[in-house]
Amino acid sequence: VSKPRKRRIVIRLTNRQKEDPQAILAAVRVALRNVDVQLQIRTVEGPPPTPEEEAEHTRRMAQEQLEAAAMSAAAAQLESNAQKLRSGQGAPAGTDVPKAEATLWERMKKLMAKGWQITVGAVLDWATKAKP
Amino acid sequence: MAEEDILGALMEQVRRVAPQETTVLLTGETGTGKTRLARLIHELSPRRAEPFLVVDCGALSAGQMESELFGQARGAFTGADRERQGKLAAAGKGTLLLDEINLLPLDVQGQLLRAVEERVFEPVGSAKSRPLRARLIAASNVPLEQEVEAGRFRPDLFYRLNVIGFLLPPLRLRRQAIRALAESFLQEFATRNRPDITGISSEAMRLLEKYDWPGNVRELRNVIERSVALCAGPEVTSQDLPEPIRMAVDGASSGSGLPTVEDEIVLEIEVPDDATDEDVLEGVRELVDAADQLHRAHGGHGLKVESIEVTEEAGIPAEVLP
Repeated sequence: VSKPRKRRIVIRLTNRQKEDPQAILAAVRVALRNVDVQLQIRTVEGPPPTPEEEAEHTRRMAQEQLEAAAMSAAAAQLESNAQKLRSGQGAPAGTDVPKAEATLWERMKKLMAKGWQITVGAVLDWATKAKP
Repeated sequence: MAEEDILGALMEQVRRVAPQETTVLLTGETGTGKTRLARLIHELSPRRAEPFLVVDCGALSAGQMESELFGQARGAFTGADRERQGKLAAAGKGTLLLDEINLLPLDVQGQLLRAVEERVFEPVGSAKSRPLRARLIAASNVPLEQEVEAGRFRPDLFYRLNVIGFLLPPLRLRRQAIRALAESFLQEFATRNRPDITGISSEAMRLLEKYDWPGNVRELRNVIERSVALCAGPEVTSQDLPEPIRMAVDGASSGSGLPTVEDEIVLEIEVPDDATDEDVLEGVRELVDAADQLHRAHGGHGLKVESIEVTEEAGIPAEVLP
């Protein structure tokens, strides 16, 4: 029986420059949502876990080191992209949306094939729903 | 109505899973099409000629639910003057949808677990076991893991039900499907009631695509049915749509008091158990990079990471186990 021992990552992204219209952010969000359906398959291989097997507590534990490393890796990547653009090495803004979308979907599908479940906006949606 | 319009990419997976005997758990907000999906799984299975029954697990008290599911023997309690067949038996070799399973009383969860595990059950007041022949599909409008964590749902039953799980996203997270759905519903109702109606105006479609659809696909279907009935001309216009939709969109969804997601993108990711820290870092970096490139391709200045949270669930608390 698979146990709910899993890691959950929540990434919040926003416009790098405040003057960028929200429509651009919305366009990226829509592209991310195009891969929005999830299938979870778990295999039952034996009886459910006993209390002894499941004696550990279940509160979500923050993995602060990994958080910091992920934040650092993501920020470095974005800074590198920004720097390339400033130095004229990156593709100019406003070009080749289909190519960029294809890259995004290819990467998402690759991760999903490895078992990653990616949802856009669900955290906020559930949180919103839970509020009185 | 093409099921593909509702289910999108899920359809292929449904076709694969339907002929199997496994228990299925459907999770999605109200109106996302859980009952429709359960019926579709039934219709695509070898059980299609047998009954498809639904039991609303949140509708009755624990005692009533026990009788509803398992049936009752004559004389089981005062007033039980005759034998009554429960839904598990009535479904025969068909499919039984346990709707709103998250609301099933804890006492009854234990009995259902035995039925699922051993494929037998006893009607209330009877010592005689009956075989369970039906396929079970469970549906929940909240993530059942949350109910397990809160101690309201037995983890052992959760594991048994969640052999295969489908998550049906709310309509506001798949806005690209709204147009096809609306057109499909329009065709359905126009054919039935108003063959003179030919389509939906572009302004009306804009409003439909921008609305948040708290009632999901069911609400969209009802709105189109209503609009077709009220429509005066050959096209459904914005004036034919209910006022809340016109107001919500034109008022920029104001008045709800709820936070909006317009100024950020929230990505929630669950990584499999075998993913290493390096896998996580590389995956996050690749995703963020690709999203950033797309932002720039649209003419923006790129993205900024507001925050990244990583949490781990370490197990089920002993106190919620039976």
